[in-house]
Amino acid sequence: MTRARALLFALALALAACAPPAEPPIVLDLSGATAPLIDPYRFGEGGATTDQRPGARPAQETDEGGLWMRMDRVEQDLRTSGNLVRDPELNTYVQGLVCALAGPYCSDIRSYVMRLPAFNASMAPNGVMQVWTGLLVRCRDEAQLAAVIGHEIGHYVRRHSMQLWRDARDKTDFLVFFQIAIAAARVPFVTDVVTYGVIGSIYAFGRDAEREADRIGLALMARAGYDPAAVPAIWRQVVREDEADRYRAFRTIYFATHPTPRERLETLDLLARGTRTERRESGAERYRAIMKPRRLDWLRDELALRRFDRMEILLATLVEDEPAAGDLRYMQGEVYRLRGDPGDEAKALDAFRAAAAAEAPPAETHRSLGLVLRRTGERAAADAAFADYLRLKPAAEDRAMIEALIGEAP
Amino acid sequence: MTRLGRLALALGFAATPLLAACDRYTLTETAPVTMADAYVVDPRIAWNRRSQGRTEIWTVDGPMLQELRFVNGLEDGEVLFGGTDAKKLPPFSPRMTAIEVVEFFALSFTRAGVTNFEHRALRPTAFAGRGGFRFEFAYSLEDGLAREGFAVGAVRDSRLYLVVYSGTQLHFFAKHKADAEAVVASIRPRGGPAP
Repeated sequence: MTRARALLFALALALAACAPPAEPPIVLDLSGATAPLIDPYRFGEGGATTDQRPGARPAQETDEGGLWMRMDRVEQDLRTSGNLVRDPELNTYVQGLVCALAGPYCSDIRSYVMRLPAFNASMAPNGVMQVWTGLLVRCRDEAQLAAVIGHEIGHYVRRHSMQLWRDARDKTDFLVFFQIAIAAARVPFVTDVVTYGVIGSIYAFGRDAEREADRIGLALMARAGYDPAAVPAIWRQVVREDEADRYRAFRTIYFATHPTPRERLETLDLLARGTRTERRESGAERYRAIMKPRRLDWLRDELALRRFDRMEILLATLVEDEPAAGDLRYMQGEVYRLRGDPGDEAKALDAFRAAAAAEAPPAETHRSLGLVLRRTGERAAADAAFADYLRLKPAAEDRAMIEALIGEAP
Repeated sequence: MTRLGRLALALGFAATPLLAACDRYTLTETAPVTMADAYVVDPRIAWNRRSQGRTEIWTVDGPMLQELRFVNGLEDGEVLFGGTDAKKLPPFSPRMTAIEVVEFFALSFTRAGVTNFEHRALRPTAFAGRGGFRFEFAYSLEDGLAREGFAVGAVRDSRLYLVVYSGTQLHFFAKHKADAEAVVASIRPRGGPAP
């Protein structure tokens, strides 16, 4: 038996060794193509004839028209939501990217940036697209954001919500589905990520729909000149975060509705490598110019979730691109200071010191540095750091508390 | 059960069945009460009173609605709540400053399953005759119910003392806030003069 197993193992090894080097077939050829944006990509599943047409709206008396009307009311609520980010420059940027990707569907898709932590974006059947700040803070460049937005546009064009809805209606749980659908799209005034996670499950389009959206998304972003490698890259980052979380109580919301990340990653890798295209832009500098001045508050939202293991991965990824960014190094320090694993104190000190020496660190860097130094018994250095904090932020809300700490007997 | 357990934990019930918990309530008199041999308070009104390890809970309408919680001398390595999720909770350390105690408090609540925990207005204040701190906080339960509260406390002889008043933002927090403030104002060292 043991011998048989060893033989099988050896055979398996040999087969693996014999496998040809992975040279994926060309699945999409964009070299020199000037075709219109979406029409050429009828990926053979026969969905194209039922695609949403640009500028079209379903007739009111149809079931689809009814769903759109309800979603329009939800959109009204969204416009007055406390989580809506109204920053005109940011909104212009995101909608601009939507238009660059969606082409003739540009004015059919309305993007809403929501101030909510965690990686997520969603598409309602009437073209309302939510982009969470937790997604913006996780993308390393424009190409990665284009990958996710392109995917969502894929859902819109193929009318996946409608298919899903009709499917549910044919079963018996139509009413439940409908109510949950409305609730899911309605945004409460609190950053209640857990609630979103639960209700988000109605957007589980199913594996085939996700594959379709993946392929359309990849085609759209590659067509717009972005590097297709960004598609597997962004998903890989999020999977790494998920796997690092020791509690795993909160899976990335997106994965509640987008199945089997591992298998999907492999498929996306093949698709990306099989895409022949001449332009392979990342748009990293343009992306950073918009996001960098805004991201500290978004990172604070992430920190408030206290999912330290995930945030450690996220920050390590961002720091690779910007080792001298004071805000990122400060946040790294906060993760280690608050997590408190063995060795975290030293890591926190390193990060705060690096932040203090970097460009534009937040004033709180010095406050946190003081707290860690105090913990390690370096009271004089701690007090000096606290004094730096109060000098840089004279109106700090916790000024009296910090002054009390400075004055405390050792 | 997990969800209910977490909810109960966050509310101070631990995982105790409701009826059993009710059995152990007694009514406070208005006479001064000595807490953990450390300090004395005046209840001012009659509260329903229950002990749970190092913690004592006072309530008028039930801890789901409002509670005054006395954490009486948490030691190095101990966690803020008992119950099923205790092993997920961060340990207290006597080296914590007031700022870090608030962070410890926030992390304990978050790990126990509450969302949107926010704190504000941390400032130094006297606690039983010596230096301490006070802060305010708010959070939501998993079902979206919003609660708010305030706390005073101090780290003394390497132990954490907290007096925490909290309740639902709708009605019950406000209902006995003044009474809770009066209790807090009456905190004095054992043997010290009444305020």
